[in-house]
Amino acid sequence: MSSVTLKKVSKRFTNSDVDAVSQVDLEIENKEFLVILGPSGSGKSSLLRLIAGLEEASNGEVYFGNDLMNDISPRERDISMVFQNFALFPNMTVYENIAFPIRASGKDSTNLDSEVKKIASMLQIESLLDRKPGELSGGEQQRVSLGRAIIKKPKVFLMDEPLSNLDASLRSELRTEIKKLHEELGITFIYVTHDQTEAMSMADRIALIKDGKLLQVDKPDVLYNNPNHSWIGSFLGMPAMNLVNSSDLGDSISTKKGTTVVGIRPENITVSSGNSKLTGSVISTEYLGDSQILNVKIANSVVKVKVPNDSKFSVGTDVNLDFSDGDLRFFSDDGKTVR
Amino acid sequence: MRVPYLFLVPALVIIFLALIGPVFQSFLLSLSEFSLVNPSQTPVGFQNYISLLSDSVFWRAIQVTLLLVFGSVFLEFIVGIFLALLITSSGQRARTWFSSIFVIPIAIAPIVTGVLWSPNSFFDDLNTLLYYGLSLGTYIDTSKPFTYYSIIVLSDAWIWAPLFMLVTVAVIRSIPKEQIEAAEVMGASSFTKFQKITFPAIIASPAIVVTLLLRTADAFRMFEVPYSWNFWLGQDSQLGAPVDTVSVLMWKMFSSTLYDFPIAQITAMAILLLAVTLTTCALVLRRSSSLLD
Ligand SMILES: Nc1ncnc2c1ncn2[C@@H]1O[C@H](COP(=O)(O)OP(=O)(O)O)[C@@H](O)[C@H]1O
Ligand SMILES: [Mg+2]
Repeated sequence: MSSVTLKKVSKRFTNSDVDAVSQVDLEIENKEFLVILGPSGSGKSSLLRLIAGLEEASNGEVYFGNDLMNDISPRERDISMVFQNFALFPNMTVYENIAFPIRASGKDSTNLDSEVKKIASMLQIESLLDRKPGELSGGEQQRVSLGRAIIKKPKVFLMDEPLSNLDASLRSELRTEIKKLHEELGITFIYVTHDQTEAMSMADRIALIKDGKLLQVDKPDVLYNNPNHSWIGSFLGMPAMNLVNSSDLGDSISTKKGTTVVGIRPENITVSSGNSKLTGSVISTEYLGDSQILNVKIANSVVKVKVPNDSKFSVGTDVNLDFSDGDLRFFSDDGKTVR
Repeated sequence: MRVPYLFLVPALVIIFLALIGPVFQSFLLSLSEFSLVNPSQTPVGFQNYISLLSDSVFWRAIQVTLLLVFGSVFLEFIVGIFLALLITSSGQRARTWFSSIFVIPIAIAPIVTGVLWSPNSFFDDLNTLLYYGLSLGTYIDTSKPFTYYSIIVLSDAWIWAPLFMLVTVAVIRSIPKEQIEAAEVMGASSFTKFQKITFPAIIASPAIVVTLLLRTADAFRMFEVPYSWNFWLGQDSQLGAPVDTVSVLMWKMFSSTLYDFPIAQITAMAILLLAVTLTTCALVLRRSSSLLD
């Protein structure tokens, strides 16, 4: 049980001329569930591996609680880690895999047997204890790897895209279970993913990373509703936030001083028959099952509008769009939010 | 007649002519009386085998062969693993140097290795150094069976350990990095990582099993090193010298003027050697496939 603090942490790999992780300042509270979210190649894994000690920081400090960790080896950091490809030991049974951290670190193993069985029943893998990892499905393998990671009750629990190799239904099932584990164990979780649904549904706070830099660290709803950078708006949401040049909007909308780009989420726009703030023509529609997306051309921009799935719009017709001014977000030239 | 099988016929004919035919023919030859004195091939049944199996010289050669095969294959396997660990755990530059130096013995002709490691060249100098140079008053007595068997095993391992090294390096490289990292994060020491992950991966690797099989089968034909030792132990022409492997024995029977070119008997020995080799390989294979699952 420990907080984790990063102070100006950077990582540059040899043979590279850019920082994979650049000047990251991050405070993760004790018992928090923090999700590191970002596109592929943004440095999420590198950041997590810096916390684990699997990579050495080029600059900056990593603290667990008040203890400086930079020179502490991974095996002495009292952490556990779950990997995307499970990383189970193929020659050991499920039982031996789960028991490994206790046996390998020479911890007190008097209750090992009952401990392994308790964890196995918690993760619903009791019947698999005698099997080898090669005889398990992906979901079962990831459960084993979760079991192996929790048995030694680490201070900090690290996960690197643990669900990315699983299919959709298993993903949502394990999402719930990981969340439940977090509540039961009461330890700090740091979870890396590129999947915003995972991040939104599990995180206490999300740390959004792009090109090795932290853009924003906030609660999921704050990040979604009040991004401090236009890129975040365009990264989160399905479909993402509309970003329209303010010059395309005419005078009908009052913007804050310094605004060059106006953002609004597709679900905050309605098609109205009465009063309207903008008018444009439908250039295409996308059916999503539970809803429908209209692509509406306004001046030189295309605005996405989320409408009910039973509404009928034919391509080429003009529509009136309405929204409340409170849902508008304003961004300046460099993408920063204008407050 | 199924048409598809017809297409197999040319391949089967070639396999028979090139592989099975000669073995079969040798087997027939070993069942006859055939030598320089008696060039007409007369069938004698298993007479050649019976006389071989009741000959202590042949049994001795079998014992020497088995000792050298298991001794050297085991040693080169172990040494190969050590060299591979040394290479995979050292830095980029050292790694390049090590691997180019370590593979040199493979490139040297085995007969040269035999001579290099034999008492007259290497140990003469070493003993001079030990006895006179360093005035230690001791020397390595290469005429003691334990000593010369050890040196022969060692010199054969010296030739072939690099092969195991190369294969083992490939196997170690193929272990997913995350497995090692997972173990490290879970608190495993370097030794535990080797014992629980690297070593099991090595012995369970099909590449290693195949290399073991090839080396075992090849070691049964070991000739050059024991052959060169024959001269140093002063029993070069005699049948049943203490370092005669089966193949050295066969060669002596071929070339010695004491014998009348007993080709049928030699063939019988070859067949027996083949049987021993195949049996051993089958045992190795069975042992390792039980490791695999
Ligand atoms: N071991 C390494 N050596 C060199 N470059 C690396 C190494 N690991 C990652 N990188 C680079 O660092 C950047 C971030 O990688 P990574 O942290 O794996 O991103 P993510 O996990 O977000 O996909 C990438 O550009 C990647 O190519
Ligand atoms: Mg990654």
